[in-house]
Amino acid sequence: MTGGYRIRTGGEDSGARIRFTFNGRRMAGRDGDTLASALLANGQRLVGRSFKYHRPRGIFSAGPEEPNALVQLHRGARLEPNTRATVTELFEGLEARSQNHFGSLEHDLLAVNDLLSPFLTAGFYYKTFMWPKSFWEKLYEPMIRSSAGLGRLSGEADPDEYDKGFLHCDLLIVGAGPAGIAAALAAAPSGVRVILADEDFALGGRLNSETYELDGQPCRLWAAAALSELASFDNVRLMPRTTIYGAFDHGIYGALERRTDHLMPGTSTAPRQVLWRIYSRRSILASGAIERPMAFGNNDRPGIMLAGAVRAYANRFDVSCGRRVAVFTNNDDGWRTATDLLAKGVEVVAIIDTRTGDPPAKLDGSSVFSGQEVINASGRKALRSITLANGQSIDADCLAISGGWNPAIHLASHLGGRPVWNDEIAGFVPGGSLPAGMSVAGAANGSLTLEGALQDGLSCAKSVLVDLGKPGPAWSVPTASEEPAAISACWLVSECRHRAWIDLQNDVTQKDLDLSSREGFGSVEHLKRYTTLGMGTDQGKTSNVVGLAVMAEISGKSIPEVGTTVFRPPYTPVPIAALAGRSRAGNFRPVRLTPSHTWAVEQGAVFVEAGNWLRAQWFPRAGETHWRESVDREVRMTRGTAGFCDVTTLGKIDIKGRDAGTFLDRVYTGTFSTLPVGKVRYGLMLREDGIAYDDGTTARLGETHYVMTTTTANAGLVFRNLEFGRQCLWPELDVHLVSITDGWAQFSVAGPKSRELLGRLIDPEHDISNDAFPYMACGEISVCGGLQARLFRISFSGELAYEIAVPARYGDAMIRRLAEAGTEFDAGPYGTEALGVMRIEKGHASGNELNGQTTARNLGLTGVVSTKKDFIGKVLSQRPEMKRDDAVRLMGFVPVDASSALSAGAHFLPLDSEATTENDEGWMSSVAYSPMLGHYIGLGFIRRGHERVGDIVRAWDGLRGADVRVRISSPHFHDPKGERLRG
Amino acid sequence: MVDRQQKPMNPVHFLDGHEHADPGSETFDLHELTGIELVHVSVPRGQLPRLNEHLEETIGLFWPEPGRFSAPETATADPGGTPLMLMWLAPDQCMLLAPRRDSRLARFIGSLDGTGYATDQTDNWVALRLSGDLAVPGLERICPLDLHEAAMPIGAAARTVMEHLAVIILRESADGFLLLSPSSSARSFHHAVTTSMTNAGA
Repeated sequence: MTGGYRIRTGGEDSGARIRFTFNGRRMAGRDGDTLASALLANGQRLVGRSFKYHRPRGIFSAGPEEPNALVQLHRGARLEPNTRATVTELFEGLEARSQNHFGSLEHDLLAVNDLLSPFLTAGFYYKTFMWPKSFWEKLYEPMIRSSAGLGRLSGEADPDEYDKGFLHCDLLIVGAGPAGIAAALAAAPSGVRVILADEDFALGGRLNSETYELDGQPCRLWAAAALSELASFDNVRLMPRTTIYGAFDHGIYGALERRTDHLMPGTSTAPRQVLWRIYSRRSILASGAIERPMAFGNNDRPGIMLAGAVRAYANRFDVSCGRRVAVFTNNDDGWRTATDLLAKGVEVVAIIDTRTGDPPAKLDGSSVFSGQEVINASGRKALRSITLANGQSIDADCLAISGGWNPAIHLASHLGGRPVWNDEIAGFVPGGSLPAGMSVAGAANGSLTLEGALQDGLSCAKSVLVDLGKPGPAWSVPTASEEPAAISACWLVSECRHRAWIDLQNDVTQKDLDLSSREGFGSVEHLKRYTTLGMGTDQGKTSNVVGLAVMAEISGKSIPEVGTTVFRPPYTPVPIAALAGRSRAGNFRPVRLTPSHTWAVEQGAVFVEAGNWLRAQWFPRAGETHWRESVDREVRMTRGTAGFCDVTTLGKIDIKGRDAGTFLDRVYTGTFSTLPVGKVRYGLMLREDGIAYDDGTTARLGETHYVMTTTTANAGLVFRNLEFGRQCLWPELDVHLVSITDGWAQFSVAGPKSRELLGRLIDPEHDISNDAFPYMACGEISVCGGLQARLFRISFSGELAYEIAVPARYGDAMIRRLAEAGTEFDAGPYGTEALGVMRIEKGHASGNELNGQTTARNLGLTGVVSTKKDFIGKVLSQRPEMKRDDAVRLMGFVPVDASSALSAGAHFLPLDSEATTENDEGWMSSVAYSPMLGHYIGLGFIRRGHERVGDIVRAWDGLRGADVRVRISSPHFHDPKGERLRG
Repeated sequence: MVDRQQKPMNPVHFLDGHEHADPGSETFDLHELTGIELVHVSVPRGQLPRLNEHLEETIGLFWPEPGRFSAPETATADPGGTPLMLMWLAPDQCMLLAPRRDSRLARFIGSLDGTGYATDQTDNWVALRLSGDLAVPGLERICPLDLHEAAMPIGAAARTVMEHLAVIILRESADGFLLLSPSSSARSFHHAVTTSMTNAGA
């Protein structure tokens, strides 16, 4: 050993030197280190403070199960809390800091909590902070929140990129240890598509950390050769640094690949992490096993570690976890740690085995204590000594504990499979129904020896190949060293006067379990919530089974009777950023642009999001300082001369077929089979339950050809419902649907001068005079010298109006022509706000009125509901409640005091009545300032509205504190007789 | 009649005819196909045999099998040329992709006479042609479908969703794809595809 804790092999340190800092202190590690191994090599025993009592903590494990060594990496916006040092790949320049202390790591002021531990027992939140009641929100909760949690977030936006992706394979192998590699070697030659994924940056699993031999060579070298062979197969994809974090339905797995976490931040342009969705036909879970501790007094001291981890640090990283190591075990594998350490020249002062009988190995120079237990440990910031049950004290700076191995069964249980208890290994193995296509191999299945794991991998691969119709594998298992694995369960030492930690991460001790049981929280699920056992970033990987066993002892049940809590994804933490992937800021969702978008940008339009669309909301002109000025002008312009507006966003569905008319009769409340060619009709659609859900116009362009428009919001929904009708309800009809929303740039041209304006653009052979092309006419025409177009004489504004459609690529040219031609009439563009004002002035229902609560009767649209035919929603719209005479009706509302503003969402109440639910008579759905009338107007629903025109009621808006007297009127404020639109 | 009405209207392509040009990078090629027409073709009930005859007569193509597109054999001789293909979309529905103003297309539509329903779709879709070493690893980032040649052989046509956008994906060669996505979101789609290629290549 050198001056540090790096074990010299062959005389010199191997691997390139890597510099990093911990709490600002400069340290050096070497290539292939994890942060944990490098910290240990530098003698850094104390790495963090515990969650509740702020006890000093050291590195406990060498893998993803780590409960203690959680650190913050990087700085600034990249600050990342709660990172497990045991799986953090070391790189040049890495900055790490300890977390969860007030003051320095060495002198944490909140360590006072440890003295208060008698008050901080299980469920203390629920028992304290109860009174006075008013203190909770202002004092207790902020106080608890500020001291809770572990690391701290930067509060800044994450500067890194994240991505997602989709992978497909015949066989997903989770874990590249002996079982996983064996399965891959057996399956690969058959040509099946294999993905072999492992969370470690070095594939090989325990083969990288052991000194066993396979076919006469060290298992580490055997693994390297096997992986190199696997890499030569085109049909095998090796994925290191990839955690399969969840099993989902139908053989789908979630995987997090850490692509650049091992590089200095900001030095790579690649996305930092990729979240893969893996579709597999079969999977083999070869996730290995996680060692568990035995609980005894003060077993959380820095330097008390899992025995397998101590062995891994020595064998894989050439790091000794102490200068005087003691081993405490209840099984044969613990002895392997002792022999491996001795072989590396590390002093093993004692091995304490809870079992009696012949020792499984002979150790030179180490004291052996059979049938003994460690009952206490001392040394606050680093282990100094341990005390045995016989009273003997042994000086040691590292205690390697092995309480046996728990198969890593998590993924096997993600879809509800209940694990079963296996006495032989004293642990749970996968049971119940596994995720579709999954088999389990190796230590994950309870085969804890090397040979067993290899055999298991082969046999799982065999079954998979048979399932996939491939010939059986020719590969055979290499000869493995013999590996004893006998165990005699021990969970909590028999004599325990001091606090013994069950869950290191959440500071749950055996006393908490005792208390929980006494207070009636005996169910394992209650136990978890009451004590926090098994919560947190490690999800109890080292504590759950020990906790269950202790609970079983307390309650006098067997462990299987106590049961386990439910395993859920993710297996290890997945950053929210990875789940979000690219869906951030401007790329959160795709953006749909109208054909006139570029032109509208040039005009300085203000845009609004309508679903994924960006629509021009209004077009400010020089000197206009408030949006209302622009909107009022656009309304007055349109009603005074002409205006045009891009309405491409409305859904457009092309309907063709000999039965197209019949089909429309069934989906609309009105009749369309009788609509003459060249005409348009307004249509209303109901849901099955009789509630109105969409409206629009449908034009008949030919005997077998209709074009339907839908609202912008419901374009997708209507298309889906129509397809359902076509494919499932009435497959006998000859009808086909094609979405043409994006294909046509459509513009509303409205106002008394709209015909003249269009006349400047439409080719002369088309007559659009009132006689030749009356209200509700439609036709296929051409514009600007032969460009095909469609013209519809329909009006949403109440003016003489048209909608003209040209192929979308010509939309930009079309709006420029409209603007050019419009100058002659002082006509110009109007946006969605002016469109909204004009439709409210005209009394047209829109999304605010078709809100999923209203019927045709409520909307005053019974005139478009046919009584002579069947249609979707008809039957349920006949229910008595839907036909009540006193139901709400869509009406207009004007403020009694014309200077009052109205607000949508206000509720109508009788004058002089209380604002109570009982007095509620309806609600205001849409309001606008009418520049034509010079005051606010509103549309809304009020009980028996049609019989109450002229009545005055309160429009009460508790949310905004408004209370305005309004007069009920017809909803048609503008041109109620419709003379203008027919003119 | 005023003069300006006679000025022809100029189309604006959804991506301005974008071509991916990244000096020094030969890992993928991406460009907007602009010289094409798209026509949705559906079969009136019971008319498939007649429609097939009509297709063969006018265009020389057959109604494809589900999940496939049919193309003239000469297409393989000029993989970079403007394609002519009939892609399967749904039972009794296909889309015809043809060079703009191709006389065969005009003949096909002009003499349909009830054997099929044709709906112009040219302006509904932006067409991106993607090829190169990064095409498959790049598409893995956004395409939920299995891109392995065993699952998606040359000649495959499939509908899917990429980054929330509807997509028709056609495999023209081992590393060559034609991607159609709604034209209104062409820029978002283009961004999604280029980001995928860049991410896969980084």
